[in-house]
Amino acid sequence: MEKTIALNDQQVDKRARRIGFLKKYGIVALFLLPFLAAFITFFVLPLIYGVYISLTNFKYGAPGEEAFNQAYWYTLIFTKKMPLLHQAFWASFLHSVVFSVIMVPVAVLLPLALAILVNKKPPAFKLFRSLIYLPSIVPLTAAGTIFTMMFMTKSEHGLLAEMFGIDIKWFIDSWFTFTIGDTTFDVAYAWIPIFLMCLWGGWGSNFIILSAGLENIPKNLYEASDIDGCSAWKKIMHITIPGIKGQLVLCLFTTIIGYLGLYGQNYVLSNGGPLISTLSGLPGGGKTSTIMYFIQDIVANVPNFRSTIYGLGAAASLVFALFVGIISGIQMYCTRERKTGTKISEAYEKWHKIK
Amino acid sequence: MAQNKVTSEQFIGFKKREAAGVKKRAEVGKIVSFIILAAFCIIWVMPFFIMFFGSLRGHIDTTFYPKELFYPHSGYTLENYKILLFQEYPPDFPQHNTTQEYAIGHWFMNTCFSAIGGTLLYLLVASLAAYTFVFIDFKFHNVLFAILVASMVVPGAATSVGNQSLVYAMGLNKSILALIIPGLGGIYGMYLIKTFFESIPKDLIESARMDGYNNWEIYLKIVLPLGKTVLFVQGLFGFMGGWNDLVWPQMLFGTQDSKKWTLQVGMAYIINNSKTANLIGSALAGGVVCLVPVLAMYIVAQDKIIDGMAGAGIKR
Repeated sequence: MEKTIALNDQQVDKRARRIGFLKKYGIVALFLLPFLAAFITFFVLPLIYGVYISLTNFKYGAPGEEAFNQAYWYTLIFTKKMPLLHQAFWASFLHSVVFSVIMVPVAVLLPLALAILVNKKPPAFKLFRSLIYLPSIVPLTAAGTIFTMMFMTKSEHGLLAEMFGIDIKWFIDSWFTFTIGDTTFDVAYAWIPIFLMCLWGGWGSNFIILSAGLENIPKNLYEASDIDGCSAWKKIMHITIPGIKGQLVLCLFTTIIGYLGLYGQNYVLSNGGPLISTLSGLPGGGKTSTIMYFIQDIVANVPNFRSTIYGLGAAASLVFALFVGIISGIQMYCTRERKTGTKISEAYEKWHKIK
Repeated sequence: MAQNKVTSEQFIGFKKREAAGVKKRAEVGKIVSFIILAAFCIIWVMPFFIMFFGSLRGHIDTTFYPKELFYPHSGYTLENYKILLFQEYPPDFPQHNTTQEYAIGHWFMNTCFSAIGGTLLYLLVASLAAYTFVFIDFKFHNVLFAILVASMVVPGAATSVGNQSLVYAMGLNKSILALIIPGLGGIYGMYLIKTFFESIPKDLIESARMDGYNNWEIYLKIVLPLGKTVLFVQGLFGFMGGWNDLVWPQMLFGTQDSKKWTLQVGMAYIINNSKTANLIGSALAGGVVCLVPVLAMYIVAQDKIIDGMAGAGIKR
């Protein structure tokens, strides 16, 4: 008698545990599945698919007809098999890198200076903070209309031409040329409107992050330095900058990465042009084209490119992504000790501890 | 006499401050920074006024009296908005043909769908996932999460071309759903929500379990109300991201019929068609239409946006 009861108990126990298990993992599956499914379908799968496309003669709109072509697109990028296409790619790449290197000091130091001023808490500093961040929420195209109007030519009554009499064909003329080795670099005036548009609305988040960093610096450090008779400049160099080192590094990297992907500004303002005469008719053949512009030209804007060299677009985007991925990997390594911002390091630490 | 008593620390601190003349200098610093910031903000806000008043100026004024920006020569007019919204050209307007129709109503609706619908759907999916990661203890959840976090190194450019073809292969390339569905697997927002959920006391959840709440009820009645700040912040970022996105809608619908475009794609097209004195006004009007929803949201929720960005160190 006793034995059977015990057995029953055990069975009931087992059954309850199984139900509990099913319930728990059922809930996990139910709750997590939508996200994981989306992640796998629209991140993992496209990544693999993109690599596959870049290795085949894939045509957009005709999947299933492709065949592998011995990394043909990569040889176009890395060797001078088709010198003009090679040149168009690397010119676009160079534009992106140089522009983001130029933008970095601007997009970090200007917000830093403003954040220091706002942090002195002058009257109405909250209003200033909102106004300074305001341009950063403006949609790219809305900002584009303003800068288009400013930089139209004299014959079209552009604002700068009319107000200040600056008679430059901003989107046609070449600013200056210089030669390094046997390569001539031709810098177009069109970079100025693009630069100004980025200067106007391209660093708002840096400003907010740096402001938050400044607030966290202990006030008594400043008081102590006052007693020691430090000048304002010395205070900035020896207290402020070290105090927000983490935020500065974050801003530095995110700015580089952000401007490497420059696309909208030059698409809206200059349409990638003025064209380089030898490269016209190729993707990214303009004096203001960037690497994203090169890719978008192939995969989105020109149907003809899309049906002939789609794989090149995939290959170019993977080369670019590898470049950016390395930089953001370095960023993650450098910012792993920070308090605000991505707490990736903490996630990793926890993971290691549990392991 | 009691009010005259000062502790020795206070006295010393006071003396020290006095000696350094801190207070006076701080006042001077405040005034200087006020002046610099005011000047800076006036310059920085100017473009908004240029856009707004430029959109209220008729094409004749733009051509013949271009210097009279804020007080148009022949008064304010809604001519540009009529061109933009109804293709109602003024009688003396030079011939103007576009290959694609300005379907701005469609663009607006598509953008609203993408920004609002996409954000709400993402919040649901991501908060459910974040809830699972924080409050349900299942095998390998740390490994799984570490993989997700590590994948943040891979930039969007790596997946966009594959996504474009995948969406085509799935037959979504003509559907407006393609604007929002690929965004559902984004890690950033889920990460932010999860970080916030971790600050919710575990005891609360445990006691709710004791009271016989199931997971769905806990999620709905406890976690969502407590986490509404972070959901709001993430919602704002998602909305702004969706509203301002140009690259993905262009990849999807850039070469298709203009009725499928979003506001950004359409506006980029308008700008490229309007680089003349006659038409720039209508482009500026489009800029205003494009800006107003985001601006309204910013004015209402600016503190939340700024605090959320400062707290999370988000950079988009």
